Amino acid sequence: MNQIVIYSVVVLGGMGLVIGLLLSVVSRALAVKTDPNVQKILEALPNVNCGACGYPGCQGFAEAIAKGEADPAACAPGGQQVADEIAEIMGLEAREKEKVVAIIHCRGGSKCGKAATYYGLESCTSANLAGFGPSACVFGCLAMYDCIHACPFDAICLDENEMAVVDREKCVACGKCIEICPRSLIELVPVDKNYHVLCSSKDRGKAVTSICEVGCIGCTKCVKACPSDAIHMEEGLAVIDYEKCTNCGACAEACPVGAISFFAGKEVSTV
Amino acid sequence: MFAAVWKAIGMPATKLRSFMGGIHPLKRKELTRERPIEPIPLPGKVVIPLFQPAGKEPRPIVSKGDIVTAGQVIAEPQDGRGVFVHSSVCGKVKKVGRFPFPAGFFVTAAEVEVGEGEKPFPPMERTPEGPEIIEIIRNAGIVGMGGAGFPTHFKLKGAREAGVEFLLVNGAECEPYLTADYRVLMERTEDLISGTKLLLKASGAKRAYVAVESDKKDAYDRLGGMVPDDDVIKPVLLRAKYPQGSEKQLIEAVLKREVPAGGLPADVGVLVQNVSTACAVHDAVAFGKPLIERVVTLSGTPLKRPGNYLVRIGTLIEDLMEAAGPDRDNIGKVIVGGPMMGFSMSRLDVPVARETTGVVLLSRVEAEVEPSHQSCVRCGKCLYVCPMFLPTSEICIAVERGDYALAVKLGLENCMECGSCAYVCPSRRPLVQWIKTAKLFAKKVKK
Repeated sequence: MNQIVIYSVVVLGGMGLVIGLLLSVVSRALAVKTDPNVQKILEALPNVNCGACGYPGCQGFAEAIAKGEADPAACAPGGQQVADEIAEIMGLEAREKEKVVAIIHCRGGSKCGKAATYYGLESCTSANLAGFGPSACVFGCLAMYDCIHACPFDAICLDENEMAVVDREKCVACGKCIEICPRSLIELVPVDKNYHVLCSSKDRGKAVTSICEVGCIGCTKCVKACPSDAIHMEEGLAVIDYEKCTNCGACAEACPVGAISFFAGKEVSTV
Repeated sequence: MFAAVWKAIGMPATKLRSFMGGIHPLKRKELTRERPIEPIPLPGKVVIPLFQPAGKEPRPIVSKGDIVTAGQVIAEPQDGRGVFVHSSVCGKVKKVGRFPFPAGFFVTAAEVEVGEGEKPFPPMERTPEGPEIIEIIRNAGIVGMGGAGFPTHFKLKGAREAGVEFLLVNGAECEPYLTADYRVLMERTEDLISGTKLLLKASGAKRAYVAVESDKKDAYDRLGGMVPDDDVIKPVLLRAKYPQGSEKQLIEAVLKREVPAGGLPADVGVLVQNVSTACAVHDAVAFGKPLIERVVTLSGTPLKRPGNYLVRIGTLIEDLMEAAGPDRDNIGKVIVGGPMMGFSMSRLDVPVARETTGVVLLSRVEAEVEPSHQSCVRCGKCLYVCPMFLPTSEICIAVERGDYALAVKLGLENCMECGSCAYVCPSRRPLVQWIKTAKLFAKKVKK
């Protein structure tokens, strides 16, 4: 009886010792070399795996930074704070990054005329494929939730005008909505600029007024009103150059239809 | 016994060739079948799209204010795949810019105000050889006129290099309502034969088959009467079934060859061209006439004079409809292309492109649909009819869930959007719309 106990202890204990030694040798010899910085960077990142940086999740991004391939400031949700932390880990000089947010260049919504009844799937892309969708304006927002579903931060919603609007506080400028929008209405703009052309219609004035109350008619009043020469016309549509814009609001005052508006938060208000 | 009864009730003696899967939708071809091709009066303006589905968009070489004549080159290709684009009318260029296109996006197009100075194209005495024909086809701006609009010269070049055996001239026209190709087969049979011979020469193929569906037997008989039995061109009668006119299904039916997934017909030694394309090739070689007009079926119950009209490329759907006397209050839906694969339009200022086969109008009653769909009941009807043998129901369930990676794995990209599955679905699921959307999303969203 005693012998059995002793044998088994010796055999099992011996096996454990030998295998343990073997494992410790192997783990040294075949160790996967990881950069300790990866773990540190990963801890600094927001870990939402949004993919806005262009890498497969935060792990991929952290590895790319550790290798020196990615720009430490490329993390959109992290913003300046994370960029600074990563720069510190990597021993780099942190770059000043301008905070940008998404804006939807349309405020038609319920003010936009309807050209047809649409019965298909509730998706902007699907509706746009089916002969430009139900709205009379081929440039405007279809408000069928594609960007709302695409936003990983829940920053886009429909307002009382049935129009998709971006919540500037939640938006981290990851750019997912820009990718998904079938009509390319969304753009990243500096967060400190308050006046935007909320229209994308390249139609002529008469065609615009017949279908939309708030569409840009290409009258060029804003171009003339702008004291800092920041607005120019592109294919009959006013475009603001944000580098020159001084937030003075002269364009919004001059606009006869309200296509240029004060937009500083979730609410859109006309001046 | 069975064969005797079969013959006695007047059925064709041999079993007609066809493909696996497919459906038998209501054809409604009787509306325009007997209407001869008729030119419509020139519209006030045309919008000539420079779009082509493959390669770079041709670069416009005219600008606002230029005077152009019918057949004058207005855009040059930017790469080997591109074709020349010609003005379809005489007049003045009003704008070169972005215009809406039936498929739901904007393309570069030239708006031309129609003026005077039309000149006929005189016959040309020439007998060009293979590569020369391909060059003529490219200069004439000929693209596949069956619906896809793929540049013909590029297809021919590929076929020549691959050394194809057979040329299939596609006169199946399986889409309901459409009869444009049927009328071309009936009225331009000689030009079709001449065009087919030119295509044979250009592609290097040995034999040509002109495929016609059994509901157009008179066209088959007419063709059979005009080509000698030992000729290189042979008409083939196929069972009338949708989508018989699809390239891969046509090859399967006529030659019993299967094009591999993602492959081209040239991989199995075949080249497929539409009957209208063959006629356009004849026009280009015999008259030096570029592709500036085509036969378009304008059909549907809200029209007083539905028919097959000879239309200049770039004519707006609005102007085209006017020619057939529409009952405007009763229009429920306007579809550019056939009702199975066409695009329903919310605006009528889109142009007739080189690949537009027809415009179908549905009345308000016909256009009524149940606005909602139900969950998939896994009945498997869509699997039974899919001519590409795709697990349609599974793909769409994956798409509905947002799992585009799985959808791609199940063969999303192989779907040709024929709509057979959506036609038979008892839950009225918008299967094709899901697939069309998912094809775009799969590129955008990498999950």
